[in-house]
Amino acid sequence: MDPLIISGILIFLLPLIMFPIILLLGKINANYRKYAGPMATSAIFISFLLSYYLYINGKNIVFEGQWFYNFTWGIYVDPLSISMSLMVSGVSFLIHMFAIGYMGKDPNKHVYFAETTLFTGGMLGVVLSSNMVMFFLFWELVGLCSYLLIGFWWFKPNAASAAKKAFIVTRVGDVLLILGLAVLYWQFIKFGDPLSVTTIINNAHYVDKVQLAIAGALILGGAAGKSAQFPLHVWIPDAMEGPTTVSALIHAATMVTAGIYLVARIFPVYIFALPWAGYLVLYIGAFTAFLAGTMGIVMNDIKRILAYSTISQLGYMLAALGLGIVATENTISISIYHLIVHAFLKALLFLSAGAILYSLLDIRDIRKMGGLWKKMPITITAMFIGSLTLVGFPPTAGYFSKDEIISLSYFLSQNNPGIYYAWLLLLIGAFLTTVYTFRMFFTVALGSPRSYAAEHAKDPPWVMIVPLVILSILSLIYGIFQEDFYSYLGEVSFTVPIYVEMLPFILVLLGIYIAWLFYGSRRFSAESFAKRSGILYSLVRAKYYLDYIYTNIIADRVVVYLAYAFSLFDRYIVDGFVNAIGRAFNYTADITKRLQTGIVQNYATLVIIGLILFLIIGKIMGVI
Amino acid sequence: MSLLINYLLPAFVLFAFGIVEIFWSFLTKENRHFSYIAILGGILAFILLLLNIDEHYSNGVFIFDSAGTILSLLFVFLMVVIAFSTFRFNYSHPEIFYSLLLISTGSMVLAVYSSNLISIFVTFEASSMATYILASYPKSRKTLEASMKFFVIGALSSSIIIFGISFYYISTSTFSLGYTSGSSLYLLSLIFLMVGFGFKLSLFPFHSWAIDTYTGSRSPVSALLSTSSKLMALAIMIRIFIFTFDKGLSGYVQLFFIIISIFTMTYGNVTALVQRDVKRMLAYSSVANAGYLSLVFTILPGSGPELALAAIIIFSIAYILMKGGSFIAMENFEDKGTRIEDLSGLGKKRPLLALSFTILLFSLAGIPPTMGFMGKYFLFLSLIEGNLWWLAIIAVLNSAISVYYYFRVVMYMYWKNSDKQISGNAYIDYAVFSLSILTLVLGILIPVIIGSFYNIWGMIP
Repeated sequence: MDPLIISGILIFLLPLIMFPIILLLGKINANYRKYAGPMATSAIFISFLLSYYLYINGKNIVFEGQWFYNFTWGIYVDPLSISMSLMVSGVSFLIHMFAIGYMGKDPNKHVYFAETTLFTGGMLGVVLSSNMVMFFLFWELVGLCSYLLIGFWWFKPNAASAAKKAFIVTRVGDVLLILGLAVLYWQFIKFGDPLSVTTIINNAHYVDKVQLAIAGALILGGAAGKSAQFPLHVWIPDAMEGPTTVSALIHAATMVTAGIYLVARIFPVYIFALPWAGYLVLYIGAFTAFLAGTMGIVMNDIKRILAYSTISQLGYMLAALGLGIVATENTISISIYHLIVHAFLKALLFLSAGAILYSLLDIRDIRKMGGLWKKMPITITAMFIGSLTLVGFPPTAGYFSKDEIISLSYFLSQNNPGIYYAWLLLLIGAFLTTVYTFRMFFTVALGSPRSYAAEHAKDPPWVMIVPLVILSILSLIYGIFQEDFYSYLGEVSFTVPIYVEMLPFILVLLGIYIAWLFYGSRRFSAESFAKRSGILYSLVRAKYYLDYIYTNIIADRVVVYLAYAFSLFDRYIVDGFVNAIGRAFNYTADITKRLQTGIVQNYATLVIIGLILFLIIGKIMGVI
Repeated sequence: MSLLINYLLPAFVLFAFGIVEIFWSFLTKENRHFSYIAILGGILAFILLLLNIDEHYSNGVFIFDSAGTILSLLFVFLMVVIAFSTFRFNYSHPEIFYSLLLISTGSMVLAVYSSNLISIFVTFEASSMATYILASYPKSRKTLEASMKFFVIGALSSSIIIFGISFYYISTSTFSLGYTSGSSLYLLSLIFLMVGFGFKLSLFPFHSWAIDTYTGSRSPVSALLSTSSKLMALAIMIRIFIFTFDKGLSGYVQLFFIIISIFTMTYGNVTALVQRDVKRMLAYSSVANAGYLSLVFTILPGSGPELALAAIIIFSIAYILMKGGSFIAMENFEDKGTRIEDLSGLGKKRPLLALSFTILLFSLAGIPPTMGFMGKYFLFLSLIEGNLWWLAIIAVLNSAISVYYYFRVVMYMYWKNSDKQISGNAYIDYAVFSLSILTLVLGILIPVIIGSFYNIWGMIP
């Protein structure tokens, strides 16, 4: 086979193979557990090198082998999947390296590293799959790993319930996804190999627009579940109960982007669908970007702030894709560019949060931090760089990625007024991003330490510093690769007036100033402002009562009673039917066993009766 | 290798070793010597048969084809396994047991090669006579009763076969197979032959002896009676009935077999549900399996019998492994009772035996990837290809019923406990284990080599 194809398969196979090895090694002897981290990290580094090998050697490699029924398996390598696979393996490598230090004292670290390795293999499989069936299997595998890793500290009741919540909420999305795939299968069966990515991309324009829109909307449901888009975003903030490295790896940089990747992968399905599917993608993205921003402002848990920020930024990526769909432009490169920049900066922010938690003994409330810039300068500097990149302060990479999306939405709204509100939402979202980011940063870094742990904080060991430095550098300078990236993935060019281009930057400055007034210099009190906002504040603080609706109304009032009704149906109707059949057979058997009298004369009579019966049948049929 | 003697040699080797056993009894009465001789003879015959596996040769009396050779290999293999598992037998006159084992197997080998009603009858009777005596070994009230019932019904069936043969001769003026006639006498002879050989195959309603004989005789003998002896009858019936389907009679013959197979399957499976004795349950399941085996006759007139004829060989391999292994495993419980409660806690007491027996029961129930699944799969597939999909549904439903009583045994072995000791010895365990491993390995291998089972039956019209 072609070495390129082999290396393409090895990219995701290698971590998958390492999973049982690491797990068994730790099980056999507790002394070997210390090798788990380095082993996992090096395996993923090899995956990164293989991805790089594909990047320099091939642009489009498609390999499909017969699998089962009329499905194939294989790898689909194009600029989109190569860039994703480089990002996933690279960021995963850095986070694994950080985790060697962060998880160093955990007694079950072999389990942790085995599971993250399995996750990375699954995620690379998601990225490189050539077939939606294979894609779905890997998609479920990363969902499983997410569940396992959120509940990694299972002895914490919060972690256990958060893991369940994440699993159940994403399951809702997965049901929609599998329905969408069924629609795709039904529509594409006439082109042979129905769920192959190649078939879908090449033949989308032959398919009925209505069916494509239905499939697209259902698949968007799956993407929304995985990528935490409104209204299925509720699981990510709870998922922060897992180890911080897990949050960085799975719930910031890689797995949550799988939904975005899915929409980008089958972009032609949306392009050739009825327009409402595109508007759905656009407005779900834009609204989530805005909504999550408002919730980020009122959180006090450092990881939850970052979680809402992740949701908001994923909204930007989805909105960028939606813009392209609505305007029939190829905006994948803009969306994926933001995805990659976000992976860097969010991994950076999460890892620096992890470093803070590491020194502060897992205190996550930002009100108990403060003055950390002096105590742990490298970490907080890294966090500062991450914050600047997140808000899109020039010349960081965030400026090139996020403001591009906002400008693009303005540009496209010139011809299509329907996009105008998306531009507004995204613009306000940028402002909100600035406020919550710098609220967090000022509270954590400035002022004086507000707890005993914060007074005695210090920078973590080098193995955790190195990934922070690398990610900081990437976040700062990745902007210069913008044009190269666009030309690699697909050119988009547009121009907007200078004042529109400057608008997000002005809002960023304004946001930083407001955050400074409230949290930096403390000239205004945030608490009294919150009190005066009244109902608006409590609405946001309660996360718009979405969790309440899902848990207390839908789950408790509807699902529980439905489940009870179904269980009654199952117990009395289904089981009753089955038991009746069983009883009927037993009664029959009680009769038939009487044929066995144990008397040989009866047996002989039976033989003769049988013979005579066949003769009679022959006579009746008239052949004898 | 085209001399007739080359093809007859394996059977003659078995006969010769059978006679050696008798003479050996003048030297010693120790059971293991006779077991060695039987194993030696079996291995020699096995090798000689392997040399013939691709050869085809026929004269008016015998037809040597691959299907016959495969069945003969199975018979000899099972005989070797039985001889191995009875290594620790300790009863008087071991030479009788092993000598009859060899002679009956030799007769069966000749019977599956026969293509003339006279040679069929002679070899069939030779094997029957040997098995009548085997069923009564070692001498006890129970085995004598089993043997007596077997003999009475066997004698009745032989007379029916003779009737059938005479009608055949009257209508076609020959004893050779392959000649058909449109006369009503010909169909009469077919009915008589079907009833006569159906007794050996334990088809409903000629099955009753089988239940008592399989339960009453010693387990290794039951293993022989319920597998080799049955498959011999099956092969004979295939050789006779394969010619009846191109002469306007196909509809009637097919109808008879459809009725018989439905009744046999359903009767065997349903009655097995309420059996509390595992050996008796296996006897009923053996009747049910005879129903599956007789499905092949319903497909022969359909669209191309190639798949059906390949499937029946695969099912035969599966059947001889799983049913033979299950009965041999029951030998462990002969002394202490074969009720289902007596198997409680086998999983803890004898893990290897329990595991092997579980695999064999799974195979009988038709759970993939065992050989039993493959046999049923290809058989039912050929039913569907022959447009008998409704019969396939009945067969699958029957197969589903059977899962219940097989799994009940597994449940008792692993989830129930008892303090009762279990007798038996390691030789039985190894014999059962080897059969269960073969069931698994062949089950995985068969889909790859199914192609080589096509066109192995000689004399297809």
